[in-house]
Amino acid sequence: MALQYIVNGLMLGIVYSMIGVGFSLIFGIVRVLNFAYGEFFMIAAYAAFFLASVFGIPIWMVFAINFILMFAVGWVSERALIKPLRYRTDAHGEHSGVIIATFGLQVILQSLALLLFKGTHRGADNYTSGNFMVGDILISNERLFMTVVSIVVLLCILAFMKYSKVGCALRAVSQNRTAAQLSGINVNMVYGIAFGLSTALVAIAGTLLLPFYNVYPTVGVIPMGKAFSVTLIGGLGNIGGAILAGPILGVLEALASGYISTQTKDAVAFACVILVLIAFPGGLGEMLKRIRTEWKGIRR
Amino acid sequence: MINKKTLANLIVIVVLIGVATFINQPYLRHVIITACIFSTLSMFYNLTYGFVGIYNFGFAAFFGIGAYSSAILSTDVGIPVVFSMIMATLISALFGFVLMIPCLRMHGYTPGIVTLAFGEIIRILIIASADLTNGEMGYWGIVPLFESDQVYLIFAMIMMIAVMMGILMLMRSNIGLAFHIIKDDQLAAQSVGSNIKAYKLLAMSLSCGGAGLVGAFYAHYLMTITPAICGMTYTIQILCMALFGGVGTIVGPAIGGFSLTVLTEALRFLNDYRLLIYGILIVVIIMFFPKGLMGVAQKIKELLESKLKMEGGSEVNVNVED
Repeated sequence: MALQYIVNGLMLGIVYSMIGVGFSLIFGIVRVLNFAYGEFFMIAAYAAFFLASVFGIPIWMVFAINFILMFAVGWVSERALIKPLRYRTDAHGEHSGVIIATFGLQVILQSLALLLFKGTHRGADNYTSGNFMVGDILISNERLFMTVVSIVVLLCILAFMKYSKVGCALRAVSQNRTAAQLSGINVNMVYGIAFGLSTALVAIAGTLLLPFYNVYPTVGVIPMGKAFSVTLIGGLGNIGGAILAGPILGVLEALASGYISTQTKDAVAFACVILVLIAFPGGLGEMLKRIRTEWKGIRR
Repeated sequence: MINKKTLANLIVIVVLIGVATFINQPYLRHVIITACIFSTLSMFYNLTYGFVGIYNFGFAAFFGIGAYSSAILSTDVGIPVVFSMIMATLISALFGFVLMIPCLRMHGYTPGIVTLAFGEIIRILIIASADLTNGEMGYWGIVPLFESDQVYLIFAMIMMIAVMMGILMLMRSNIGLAFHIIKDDQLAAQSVGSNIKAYKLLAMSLSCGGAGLVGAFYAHYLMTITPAICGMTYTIQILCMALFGGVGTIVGPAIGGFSLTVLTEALRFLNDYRLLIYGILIVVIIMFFPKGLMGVAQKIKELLESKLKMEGGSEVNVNVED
C-alpha cells in the first residue's frame, strides 16, 4: 500500500513542481512574491472549463490557447501593476510595495470571479479514462497523462532557459540585474517575459488539475499553498530545487493522507516545510549547492 | 509635570469616552467596538511589520489562538474570564516567540511565508480537532466578559487608547530606537552592539501576545467564533488597515483600522462589490499613496507650510530645493 501512495504522490508531485517552478521563476528574476499566483491558476481553470466543456475544443488546443492567453495576462499584469512599483524599494532592497499590490490583485481577481461566475463548483470530465496495473500498483491513465504533460513542459522550460537567447537573458537578469542591463539586455522585456512565462506555467497546471480540484472562485488557495511549500523546500528562486521539491511534497502529502487523514495533509506538508527551513534556511537548493562545492573540494 | 499638550490629549480622550457611553444605538455601538478591535489589531501588526520590518503573513492565526484558547479555558475549563484572557495573551505570545526562533536565521520574505504556513497549520488543526473546538461549525456559547454592551464599548476604547499610549512609550524608549535601527540597517545595528535577535523576539512576542489579547476580547464579546478568523482574509484585512493609515507611524494604523471598518460598514449597500472595492483600494493606496493617510497628511502639512512661507515674502527664494 505504501508503494501505491508513493507512486501516486510522485505523479501528482510533478505537477506541483511545475507550479513551484513558475512561482520560483518570478521570485528568482523579478524578486517579487506573487500572492496573486493562485488566482492566475483559477483564471486558467475557468478558461479551460469554458473552452473544453462548453465550447468543446480539443484538449491539445485548450492547452495551447491557455498557454498563450495566460502569457498575455501575466505580461499585462506585470506592466500594469508591478512595473510602476518596481523601483520603489525599502531599506533592504526589497519590494514590499509590490507584494501588497499582488495581495490587492488577488482580492480583485477573486471577487471578480465571484461576481461573474458565482460560488458554484464547476467540474470537468477527465481528459482520459481507464487504468492499468504494474505489479501491485494501480496507475490511472489520467494521472499518467498529467505526469507526462508536466514532464514535457518542464523539459521544454529547462531547455528554453538553457539554450535559447531569451532564456540566457532571463538567467543573466536573475544573477545580476545591473550587469545584465550593462551588457545590453532589455530588463523590462525580461521581467515581462518572466512574469508571462510563470503565469503560462500555472495555466498548464490549472488546465491539468481542473478535473481534480474542480473550479470555484477561491480554488487558488490550493495551488498557492503548493507553490509556497515547493519553493520553500526547494529554496526561493531556485528552479532546480523547485523541480526536486515537487515530488517530495507529493509523496509527503500522499503518505499523510493515507496514514493520518486527508483533512490534515496540508498541515503536515506545511509542518514539513517549516522543519526543512529550520534545518536548511535556504532550502534544498542551497543544500545541493553546498554538497556540490564540498564534492568539488574533495575531488581536488 | 503634565504639559499643555498631554492635558489637551487627555481631555479629548475623556470626552470621546464620555460621548461613547451615551451611544445607545446597538448597531452603532457594535460598529465602534469592531472598529476599536481592528484598530488595536493593526497597531499590533504595525509593531512588527512597520517598526522592525518582520513580515508576518500569519498574523490572524495569533488572533485565532487567543480567541480559541480564552474561549476554551473559560467555557470548558471554567477559569474566570479575566484570567483566561491573560492566559490567552501569554499563550499567543509564546507561540509567536517560538515561531520567531527559526525565523531569526532566515532573511527577506522567508519568515513571511513561514508565518503564513504556520497560520494555515493552526487553521487546519482547529478544524481537525473538532471535539475540542467544534471544528468548522464554530465555537459558541462563550462566557461573556461583561453584562452590558456599554461596558464593552468603554473597555474597547480604553484598550485601544492604552495600546496606542503603550506603543508610543515603547517607541520613545531605547527599545524603540533599537527597533528603528534594525529596520533601517541590520548590520549597523549589530555593529553598535544592539542584540538584534532579542529585539526581534521581543517585538514578535509583544505583537502576537497583543493579537491574542484582542482575540480573547473578540471571543468574549461576540460569544461565537469560527476557524475562519485564523485565515488569510483577516491577515490581509489587518494589513490593509495598517497600510491605509500609514505603516511605520504610531497613530496611522489606528486611524486606518477605524476608518476602514466604518467605511466597510458604510459600503454595505454595495453587497457583492465590497470585496472588489477593497482590492482596488489596496492597489490604489500602494500605487499612489505608499505612505497611507499619514503620508497624505504630511504632504498637505508641508504644502501649507510652504504656502505660508511664500506669503511671508522674505523666504521666497529659500524653497527651491523641492
